[in-house]
Amino acid sequence: MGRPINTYTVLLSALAFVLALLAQQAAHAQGSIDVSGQDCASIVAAYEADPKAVPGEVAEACRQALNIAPGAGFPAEEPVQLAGDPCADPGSASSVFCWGPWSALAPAAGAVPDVQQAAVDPQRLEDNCAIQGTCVASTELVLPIEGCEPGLPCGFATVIEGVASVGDAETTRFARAAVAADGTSFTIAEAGEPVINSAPLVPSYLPRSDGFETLRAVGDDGGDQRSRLIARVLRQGDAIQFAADVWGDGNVATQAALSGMLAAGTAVSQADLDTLTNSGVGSTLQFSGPMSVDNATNANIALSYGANPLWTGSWENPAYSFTAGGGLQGANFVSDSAQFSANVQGGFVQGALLGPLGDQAVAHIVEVTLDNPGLIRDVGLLREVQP
Amino acid sequence: MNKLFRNIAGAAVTLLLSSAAQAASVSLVPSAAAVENGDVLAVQLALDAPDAAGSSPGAFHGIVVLEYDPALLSFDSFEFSAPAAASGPVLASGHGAGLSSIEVAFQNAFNVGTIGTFTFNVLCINGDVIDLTIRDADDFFGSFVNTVPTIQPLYPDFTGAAVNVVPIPAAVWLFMSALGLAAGVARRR
Repeated sequence: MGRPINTYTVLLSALAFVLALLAQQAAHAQGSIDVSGQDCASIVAAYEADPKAVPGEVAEACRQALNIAPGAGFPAEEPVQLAGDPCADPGSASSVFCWGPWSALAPAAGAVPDVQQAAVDPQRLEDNCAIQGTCVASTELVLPIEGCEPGLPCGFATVIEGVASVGDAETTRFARAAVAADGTSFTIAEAGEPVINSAPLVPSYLPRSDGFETLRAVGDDGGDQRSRLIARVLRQGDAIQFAADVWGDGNVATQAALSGMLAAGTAVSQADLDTLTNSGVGSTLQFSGPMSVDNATNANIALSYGANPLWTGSWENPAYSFTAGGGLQGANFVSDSAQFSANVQGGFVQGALLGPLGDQAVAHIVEVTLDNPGLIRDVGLLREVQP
Repeated sequence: MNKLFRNIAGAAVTLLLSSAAQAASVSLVPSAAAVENGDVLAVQLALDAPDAAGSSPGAFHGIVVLEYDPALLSFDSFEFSAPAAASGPVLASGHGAGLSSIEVAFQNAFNVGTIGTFTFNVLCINGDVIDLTIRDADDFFGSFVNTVPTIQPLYPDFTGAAVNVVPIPAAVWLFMSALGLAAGVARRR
């Protein structure tokens, strides 16, 4: 019934098994516990006081290290840097983005990563505190709102009760948003709430002086549901590439409605992400534009792709300003609480890169509590600033 | 003491209200408070939204519906006042029993100024009052937005207008009668 097993196959399998055994032994030999950067004297003392306090292998490694080199177990003065290590820059050792895969190859120079900080850092899906107290964090970003997948519709929205689209920050919520390329529908997906699928819309476009067009699209489902989308849009041919601003959906009979602001488009493709990542030294993309809820706020964001993808941003309003930065992964980015300016008491910034290379935009949401004026929730579409 | 407290509280509320941002409004401004049969009546459509969100003077879009009694007026035209311009056709409808309506879709209006002017022919008889009402074409979401720098909704108050039809004075009737009588006498001679 099955294929006959011949001698050649048996020999190949045996060879593979032997190679696997050899590889495992080699890995075990290489994987001898690295205790550089650890306080071996304390570890050995702790082990001797209570053998359960420290793994025996660690204590043995420390004992050997102390015997071999009296200075071992303390931070090396000149730690070895791997070629191409993005964490080689001074100060980068304290960055959470330099732990992950690099810690297995070379411990970050400088301070030992703070386990407590890593544990509470919302940018990490999981922390895997390895032996010796060295915390190896995964490189996955923790996104407050579901992230965007390359090449797929992507966007964010604010949501308030009623038709006004703009309300108090305290009662404003966030959701994912998508706008149909032909402007005939939109979708708002709020976590834990039914997805809002707009009624069929009849779009019309008017020119603007800023390169966008104004889309006015209203419609009903033939019954009581009414929807509207009044947005700045950029089109490629007849297809909407980016859309921003007013959405609403409600029932005229009950007068119940939800509305808000949005920033949406199509996430950058995987091919373009690969190009950005592999373009050598790194590609930095600059974006700028007004926010949608409070358009007196102007935002600037820089995304740096390459070996060590990072982003920074600033928001300027007549009443306040703040800065943020953090990790960038695929199309998505999210703030690192350690990189907020001092006037930010808490919150997050999350966004995604949209559009094709050379004509890109950023959709993002902001939820920060500032010393003054307090809580801010906003959404913005920022266009790429061409160098 | 209570009365004093109420007075102070009332004054404080009044002060707060007077210092609050001025509400946006859309109003009809007739060219005359009184007209006669056969006159041409011009009615300006005015926007007053100096404190609206967004840039000033901005670029406001919206759709309004003006309603009137077709027994009293005949719609002639609507002319946009620059920079305001049409964002769709001017739609006149309902020239039968009941009220007639004119829908005007506009774009790029300044936050304070005239969007355009309706022109009517007066058909009414003495003593009539011409009522002109104005409202947002979208009675659920509202249609007004400022589009600069981003699109921000605006919910203005709407104010219509009333125009009196002035009866021809009795002296005019007497004078015309006298003229007719004089003409008759002259012809008989």
